[in-house]
Amino acid sequence: MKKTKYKIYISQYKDLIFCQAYYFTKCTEDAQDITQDVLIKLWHNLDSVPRKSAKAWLLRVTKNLCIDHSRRKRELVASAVAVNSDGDEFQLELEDCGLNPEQETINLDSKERIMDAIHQLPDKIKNVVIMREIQDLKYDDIAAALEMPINSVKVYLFRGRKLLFEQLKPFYGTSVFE
Amino acid sequence: MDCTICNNLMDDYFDGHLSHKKRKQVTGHLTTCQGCSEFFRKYENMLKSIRNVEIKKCPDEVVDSVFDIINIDDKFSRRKSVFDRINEFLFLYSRQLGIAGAAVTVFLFVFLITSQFDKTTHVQQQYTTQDVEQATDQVKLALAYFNQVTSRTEEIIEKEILHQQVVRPMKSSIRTALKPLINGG
Repeated sequence: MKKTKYKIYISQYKDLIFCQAYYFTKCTEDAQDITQDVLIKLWHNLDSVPRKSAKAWLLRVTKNLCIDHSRRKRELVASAVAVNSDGDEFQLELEDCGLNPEQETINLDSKERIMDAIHQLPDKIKNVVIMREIQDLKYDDIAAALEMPINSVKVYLFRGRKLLFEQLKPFYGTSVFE
Repeated sequence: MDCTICNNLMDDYFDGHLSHKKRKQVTGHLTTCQGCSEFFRKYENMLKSIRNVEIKKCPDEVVDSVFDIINIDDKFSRRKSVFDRINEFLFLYSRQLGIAGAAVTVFLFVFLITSQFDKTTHVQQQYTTQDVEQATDQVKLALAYFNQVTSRTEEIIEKEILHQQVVRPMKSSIRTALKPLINGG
C-alpha cells in the first residue's frame, strides 16, 4: 500500500518538483539532485504527510532544498579561495552549470533571457514567480506551500514581475516580445 | 484616473482581479493615455513570454535512482498499466467515490420508502361499488333537499313582493277613501 501511494504521489508531482528546482537553480543536474532528495524525504515521511496537503508539503520541501542549495553554492564561491605555492591567494574555478560569458552573448534566445532574469531574482520572490507564472499554481496553493498569507504572495509576485520587467526592458523593442 | 493609479492597478488588471467598474476606468485611461497604453502592452507581452516558458519534465532516471536508494525493486515507467491506472484512480478519487456511493444509497433508500408509502395510500383510497352507490344516493338526497329549499324560498319572496307592491297600497287607498266617512260619521 505504501509503495502504491508513493508511486501515485511521484507520478502526480515529480514534474512539478523538478520544474520548480530547475527554474530555481537553472541547472538540470542540480534540479535532478534536489528532486531526488525531495522524493527520498517523501518516502521517509509518507505516513505523516496528509493527502490533502501533499502538494503543499512537496513544494515546501523543494523550496527549502532549493534555498539550501543556493546558500551552499554562495558559501562555496566565497570560500573557494586557495593559496598557491607562492603564498598568493587565487579563486578556485568551480563547476558551474550556468553558461559562460561567451555562450551568454551568443545565446539570444528569449527563453534563456527570461531564465536568466528569473534566476537573478531574490530567493523568496523567485519561488513565487516560478510557482505562479511558470507552474501556473493558484494563490492558495502557493500560500500553503510557502506558509505565508495570500496577500504576501501577491506582494512578492508583483515585486517579482516589476523586477523582471526592469531586467528584460532592453529587449522590448526587439521582435522577441512582439 | 491618473497614470500612477493606473500603473498600480496593472497587475490586478492582468490577473483579472479588478472589479468591473475599476476595469472600465483602467481601459478608459488606456484609450486616452499613449504612455500607459504602450507600457501596458509591453508588460503584457513580457508576462505572456514568461508564461510560455517550457514546463520541464522530470527524467525517469531520477525516479529510478530514488527507487534504488530506498530499495524499491520496481522500475518507474511513464507508461502505466491498466492496474496502475485503476489503483491511481481509486486512490485519488476515493473520497469522491465514497460521497457518490453514499448519495446513491440515500437516493435508493428514499426511493424505496416513497414507493412503499405510495402503495399503502393507494390501497387506502380504493372504494367498493357499494360505497360509490351510497355516496351517489347521498348526493342525490342533498340535491333534492337543496331544490326544496330553493322553491320554498322563491315562494316566500313572491308572497312578500305581492304583499309589498299590491296588498299594502290597496289597504292604504281604502283607508284614505273611507277616512272622511269615518270622521264625518
